[in-house]
Amino acid sequence: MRRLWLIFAQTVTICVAVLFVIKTLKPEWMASAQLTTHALSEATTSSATNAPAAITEAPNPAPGSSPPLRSHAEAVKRALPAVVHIYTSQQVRTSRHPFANDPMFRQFFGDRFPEEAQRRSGLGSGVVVSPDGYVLTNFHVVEGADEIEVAASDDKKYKARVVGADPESDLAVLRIQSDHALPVISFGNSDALRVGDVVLAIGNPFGVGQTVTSGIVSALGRSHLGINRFENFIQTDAAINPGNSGGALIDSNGNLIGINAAIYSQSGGSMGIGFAIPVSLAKSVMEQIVKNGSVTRGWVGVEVQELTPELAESFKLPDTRGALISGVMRGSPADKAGIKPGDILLGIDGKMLRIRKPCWS
Amino acid sequence: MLELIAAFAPGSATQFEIRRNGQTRSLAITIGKRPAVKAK
Repeated sequence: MRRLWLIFAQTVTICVAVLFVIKTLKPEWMASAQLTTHALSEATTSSATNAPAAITEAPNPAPGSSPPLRSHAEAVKRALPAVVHIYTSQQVRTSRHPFANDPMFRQFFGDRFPEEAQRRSGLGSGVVVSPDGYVLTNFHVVEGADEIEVAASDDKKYKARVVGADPESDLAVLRIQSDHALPVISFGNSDALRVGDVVLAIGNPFGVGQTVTSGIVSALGRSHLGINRFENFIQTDAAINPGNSGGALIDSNGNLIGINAAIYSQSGGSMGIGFAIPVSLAKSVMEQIVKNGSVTRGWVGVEVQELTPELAESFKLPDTRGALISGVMRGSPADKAGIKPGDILLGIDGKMLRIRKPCWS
Repeated sequence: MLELIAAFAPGSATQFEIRRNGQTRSLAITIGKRPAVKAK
């Protein structure tokens, strides 16, 4: 037994020694052996790679057939040429001193540091609403601008003038002079919108160029946001970013249903909460501006308050219909008509009042 | 201050339906022109 073990040990030792000598003196012999093994494994892999992948190709649509259901290309094609880019510039006077805006610094040194004129540029979007060059946009896009340029879909830039603006609804109407009829957008019916309807936002976000984003109507009648005095926003998750302001929100048929106006954002970019002014409001404001150059609103001179169940109970009312008139301005039409604080306003001209969804503004 | 500002054109006559002391009554109001507001 011991002899056998010795023979085995000597054989293994001799083999290891031979391998060591070959590896040292003739390493290519070992490499060719390894290459053969590697080549085999590679061949195995490549044979697996070359196997035909199982892919499914969509059938080619027949000429003249309707576009795929999920594409909004036709709607975009209708609306896109009417959406313009607006570039504004304004002269501002700023001090070059880095602490010039520091109140403490100004308290000690006053306004002795000279100010120099600089030009500040702005960016926005707009919608051509008539072939003779009326463009609807946001007031904040053109607010304070000295020069306004509109880049239309014909790749031309036009000087624009402000026909009129309504800061309270954040709308403005511009006019450009073109030697040819401009493509116009068709107005949709924002009153018929439902939460969940598909909408597309068209504009010029960050100045990158004409951009279309899609989403749905997330909510309707959004108010109390502190953006405008009159708020009745369409909320959408279609991406709206700086530069989209004044651009179009269209429905799946390519009709204008809103003017993109604001976003809720902590980063400055889209977070999926955008707000558009409904076209019904935009249209009435635009018509007044085109006709009169400004917007004149009616006024009755009352303060109202939502009628909560607690208020209804304290006023011994059977239900919470209507709105509580909490104040009447002296000499106002309401005062002259005999309305008094504490009255419950139920309706106007036969229409029941819904304070949450303004039938007024 | 919450103001009600009518979408009606100034000068148009409207009927306001109100409830006072448990009774419903109708009052005619001629919509006025809103006093000027300072632009933001």
